[in-house]
Amino acid sequence: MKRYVYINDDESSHDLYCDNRISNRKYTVLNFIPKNLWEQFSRFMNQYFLLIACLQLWSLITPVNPASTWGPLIFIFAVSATKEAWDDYHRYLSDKKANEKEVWVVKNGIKKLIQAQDIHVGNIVWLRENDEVPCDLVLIGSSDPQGLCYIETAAMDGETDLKTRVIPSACMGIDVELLHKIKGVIECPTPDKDIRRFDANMRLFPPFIDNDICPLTIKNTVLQSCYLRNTEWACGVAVYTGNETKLGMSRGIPEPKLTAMDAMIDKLTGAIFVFQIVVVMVLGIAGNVWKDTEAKKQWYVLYPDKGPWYELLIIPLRFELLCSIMIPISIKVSLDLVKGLYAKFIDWDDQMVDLETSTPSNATNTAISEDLGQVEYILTDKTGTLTENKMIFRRCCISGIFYGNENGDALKDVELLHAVSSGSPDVVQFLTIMAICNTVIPTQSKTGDILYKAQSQDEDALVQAAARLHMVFFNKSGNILEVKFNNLILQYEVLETLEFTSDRKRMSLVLKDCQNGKILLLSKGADEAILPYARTGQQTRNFVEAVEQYAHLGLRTLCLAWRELREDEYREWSLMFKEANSTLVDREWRVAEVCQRIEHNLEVLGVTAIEDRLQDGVPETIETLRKAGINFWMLTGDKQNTAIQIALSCNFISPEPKGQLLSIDGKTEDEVRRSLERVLLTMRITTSEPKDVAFVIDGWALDFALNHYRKAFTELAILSRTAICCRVTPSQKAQLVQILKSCDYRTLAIGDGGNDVRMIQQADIGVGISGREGLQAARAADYSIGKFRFLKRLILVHGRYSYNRTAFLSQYSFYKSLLICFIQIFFSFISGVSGTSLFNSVSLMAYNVFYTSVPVLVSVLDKDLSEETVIQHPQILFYCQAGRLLNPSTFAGWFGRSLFHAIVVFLISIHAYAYDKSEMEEVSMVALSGCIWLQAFVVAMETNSFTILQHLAIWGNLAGFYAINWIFSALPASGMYTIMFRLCRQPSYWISIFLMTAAGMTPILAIKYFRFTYRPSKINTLQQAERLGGPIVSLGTIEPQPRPLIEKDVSTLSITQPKIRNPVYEPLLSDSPNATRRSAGTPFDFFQSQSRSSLPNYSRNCKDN
Amino acid sequence: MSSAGAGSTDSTAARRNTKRPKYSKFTQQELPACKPILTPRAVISAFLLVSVVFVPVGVASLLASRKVVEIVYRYDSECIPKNVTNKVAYIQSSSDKACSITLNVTKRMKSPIYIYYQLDNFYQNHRRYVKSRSDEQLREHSEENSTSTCKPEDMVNGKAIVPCGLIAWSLFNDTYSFSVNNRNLSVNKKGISWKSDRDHKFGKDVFPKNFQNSSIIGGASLNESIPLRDQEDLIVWMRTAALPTFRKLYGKIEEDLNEGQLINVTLKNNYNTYSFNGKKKLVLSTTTWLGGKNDFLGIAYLTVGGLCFFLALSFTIVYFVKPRQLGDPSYLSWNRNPGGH
Repeated sequence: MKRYVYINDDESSHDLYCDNRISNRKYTVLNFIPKNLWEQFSRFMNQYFLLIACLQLWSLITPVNPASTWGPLIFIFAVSATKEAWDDYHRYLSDKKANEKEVWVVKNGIKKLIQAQDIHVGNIVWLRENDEVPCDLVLIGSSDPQGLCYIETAAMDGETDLKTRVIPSACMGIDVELLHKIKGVIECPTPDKDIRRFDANMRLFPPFIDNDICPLTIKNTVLQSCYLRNTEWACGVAVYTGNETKLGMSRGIPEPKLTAMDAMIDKLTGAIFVFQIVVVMVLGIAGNVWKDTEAKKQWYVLYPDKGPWYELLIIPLRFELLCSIMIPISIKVSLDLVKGLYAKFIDWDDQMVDLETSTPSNATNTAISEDLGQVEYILTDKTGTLTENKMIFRRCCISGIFYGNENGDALKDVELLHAVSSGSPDVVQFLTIMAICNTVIPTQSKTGDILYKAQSQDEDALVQAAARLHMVFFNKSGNILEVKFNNLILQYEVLETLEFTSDRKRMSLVLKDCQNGKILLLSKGADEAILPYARTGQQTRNFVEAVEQYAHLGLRTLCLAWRELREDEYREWSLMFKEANSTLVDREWRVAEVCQRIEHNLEVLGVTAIEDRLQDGVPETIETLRKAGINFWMLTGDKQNTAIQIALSCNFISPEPKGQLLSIDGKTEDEVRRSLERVLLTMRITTSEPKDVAFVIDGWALDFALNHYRKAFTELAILSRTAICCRVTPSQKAQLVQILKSCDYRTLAIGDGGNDVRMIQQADIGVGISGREGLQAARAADYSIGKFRFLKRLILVHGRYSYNRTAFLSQYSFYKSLLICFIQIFFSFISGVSGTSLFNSVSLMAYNVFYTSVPVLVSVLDKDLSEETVIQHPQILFYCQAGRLLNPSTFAGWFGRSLFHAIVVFLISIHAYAYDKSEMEEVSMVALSGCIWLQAFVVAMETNSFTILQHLAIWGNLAGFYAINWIFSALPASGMYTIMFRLCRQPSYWISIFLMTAAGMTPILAIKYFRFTYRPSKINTLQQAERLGGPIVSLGTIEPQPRPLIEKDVSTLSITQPKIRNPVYEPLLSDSPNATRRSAGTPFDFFQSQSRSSLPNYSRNCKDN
Repeated sequence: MSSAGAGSTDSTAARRNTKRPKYSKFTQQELPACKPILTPRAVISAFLLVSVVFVPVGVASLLASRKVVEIVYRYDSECIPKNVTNKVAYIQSSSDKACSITLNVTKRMKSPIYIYYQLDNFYQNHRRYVKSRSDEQLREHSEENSTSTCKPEDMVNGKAIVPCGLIAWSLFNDTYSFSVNNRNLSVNKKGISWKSDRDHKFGKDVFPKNFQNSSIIGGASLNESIPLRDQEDLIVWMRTAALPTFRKLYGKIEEDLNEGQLINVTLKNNYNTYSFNGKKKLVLSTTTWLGGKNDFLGIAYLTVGGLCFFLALSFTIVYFVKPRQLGDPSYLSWNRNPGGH
């Protein structure tokens, strides 16, 4: 399917495509109630409660007033619906704002200001500087004479640097006035969500130039939500509008995440449901039998001889209603409430504030905090996540002289400063390349400062460093670059830009020195992309050494080179370059091939070394979380060597002999398979040894492994606690997450850039670092934190506490519901199995809503261990990971407890209140009081730390129970009139209550004490140690070992690899849209000696995939 | 020129929301907390304390219960003439069912002596039964026709029954009169119901109407000239019992009875418990601070107190025989076996 867009044709396409009205709303005013109700009722729990509530309307079977179910049900639904409505209203407001924004559009040949929502496909839209782009446009004009314009795409991919876009060649040079009248047709694909691809053609109608088809790429478009920067104006044709824009297509409400705990609670709910059905059936049958045998004799019941046809159903249904409280209706509300509070605690945490930027942590997804405590795998990005992504120029080697080796900062190296001031030609040339061989755009702020807009942080670092060394790149106007060197203004005219691609690993500029008219080629790139092309005769040994030395220090290196071009050489080449640039098929590799024809015979000037520092506390964080039993995988788009370097320096993998790094590689499917099998075999053997075995795989091999050997790779994934995956694409990152998830592991993905978004969304928990690569990852994530080291606290403190608290709260909710339900069931045995409720409606409702909900809610303040103890003994997280606190067996414990307590309460009530005291209301209140007292003591016993709030809630609630009942007892109209006053005056009431409490709690206390003292869990042991100040604090402490500086570590690196090659040039958006990895590229084999010589081969194999 | 150093990063920093969370002990989860743990001393003393409190209370309860003098006499089978084979038919007949029994006072009984009738195997808590009443109708004259909840005893011949419902309909109708040495003992039937019921639940302008007029006669009939609030037998009966065995107050004897005295009871055995094998008992009982005779609480208290004492004792023994250091790090498996769980 293709879409034909007729430019500036007001009639033809109006009806064909949607207008530019953006709508993110889920509901409209009319469909809100039905749709929302439908959504809510698609949940099993809600259906169940609705069914119960409906059954209660039938007064023949209802044991209690229907309000006792309808009230809470309506409340719960109202809360959820209000939340949805509120969110949707905000979406509506932001849509409205976007839709009603005014934009300039050409209508009937005249520029008009219209609302953004009225833009139609084919309209010409005019943008001014700093305007937001209202829909996807194909550029046709720009204020720039070269047809360039700059856009910021932060909202789309999170990258804050400016990108250049260019108008198609066919539109080049059209006068502004004529642009209003331009006509033509654009043939473009149907809308998709690929923001890196746009394969279209444009044909302008006469009189506009020729009738030729002009190919369009993504470079010719500006997409919705970008901002126009540094360009006075630009105009373009709307091709995709409304929700059909590339951004609109990729939008979509992410699936709500369900925590492992929620799943477990659902499972247990299901089990209780089955239990309930069984109980109902047994009691129903028993009830019918009793009715047919006994009740016929009980003349005072006056059963009719022949009942209606549904007679047999009545008693089972009554029991169904009676037992419906087994599944606590309040659990969802309680859980939502406490989950909200967990999230708030994360937001509020003072120790997780990034002091540099004063960014607090933020929990966007408030529903999954418990999962943090159950993480088993952490998949982390490297750049910006483990490292600071703050590139700093540290050292350089110019013509064999090392600068910055003494003090670690070349900018303060006296020798370099001296060389600069004395104007040493090599140094000056080196600085020139540093300053201008890039795609950086300098802008002058109002105060006269120069700000650089760089595509990559590396380039930014180089330009900044050059500026510090008095080579200030201060202006770029069109093709003219202006550089100030020691107050001398130098001008260069850019003739061609040979762009960086991840395959070429270098970029070059061809420019004309305006001072002397010479044509120069300036190149910078990875060592393996520059050094082989050095001028014959030049000794590159120096540079190789420099690269190696810097690589050992974990620095990112770039080689700088240049050469002078002869006029005719340039001319000849320029034609080829233009031709290659306009090819339609295989354009990229043809361009690369042409580029290579000129990038040779280079005069290598030197090597720069840029540092990307590890974030503070990364090694400690990884070590602590490792101890907590969490496995780490590093997924990076970076190269293998860089990744391994960083992995070593941050404790990710251990150097030999403690650790072993296995590599999976291969160029072909077969090689990958063999390699994979070999690694798998080694892994199986070594699992028993206490050795840190990790494997390394790169994107190419990973592709085979994922597509063809998924089973083997999955096994490897399970066996391996550590893995490094390099050169992986965003979708591969997501696939890896998927693999781990499919093995039922809880995964946490952490990243900072747009390329991590998919993995973050895919993982059970996505954590975004609100870092330098923009906020996109942080926005897509469930949690955003400022620094990697906060992850420790997020998991060990917040995740663990959340898990423990929810475990208690959910099981307790079932306990209290079962308690009262068991009493009802027991009562039915002494009431002729007729389904009488012992408790009245008010008590039943208040029991769930007030009496038992308040004390348990303060369990969100409970801490079983102090934060310090947990951090010191991260192993304790195992209890959460393995789900030790909420599983069928702990649940069985609570089930048994409620059964036991129900027996205690029931037996004592009916025996203490027998004969003349067996008045229904009184017995019911005695039993209810017993439940309340027992639950207060149960909460108190399960609470590990009492703050004032807990005391208030637990004991205040008990007082509240009496207050509420006294109020009801004072109302003559209520069934309970005077009951509570009578009871409170009776000594036998208090004696019964104390008896219930003591009889109920004594065995529990005894068992708990016995287990605590003689069969202590690790948590108990730590509690004892913590409270008693035992010797453990010193013994078990993880000694904070300050990592030796990276420099010292170099010697211990011992991957079986003779030389560590550090690579290098890596802009953040390293993958060009259709970049393909070439198999002839360097095979990274650890077991192989240096084999760097093979050149990138731009021939056929690029199309292999 | 060096100021260019800030570069492209400051714009992102400025854009960020720089709101820091407000510090408070609550938001930081640092509220001062007391963290009790189950030390042997605390637990053992808790058990001891419970046993020390419970044993005396148990003894006191037991003594109180023992102090109660209670005469229970089952008369339902005895009061059927020997020659009657069909008890149900007999009880449903309209013959005079007077019966005379003798109670022996085994111990001196101080006034007030409460007279109860006890029914066994009578399900006043049956769902069909317990719901079959209309509180509105009982309370107010104007609500005479709100009988919807009273089915199946709501209307007779199209007219509302007052009081309606199965409970009222099945009102207990045995009567007792007592004499000692041929002297009649007066039975005080005033004030046997709850005062709150008389004042607020049963109206003084609500008179029985159409009661026991339907084809099947249930229990007692009511005097149509006395308002419901003064029909105390009805009020007592309408306080439904939670258990199938229950006692209801019949009246009070306000004089002491001496040991060895014989009480002659003339009773009218009208109430049908024979169709469902129920028992009818006549109970005379004194009362104490804990109520009537009920050993349960005392025994339970002694049991729990004893159990706690036993637990305290055994925990103490275990504590001394097999001392265990709390918080011993060697129990942490990862300290024994690094790396493993």
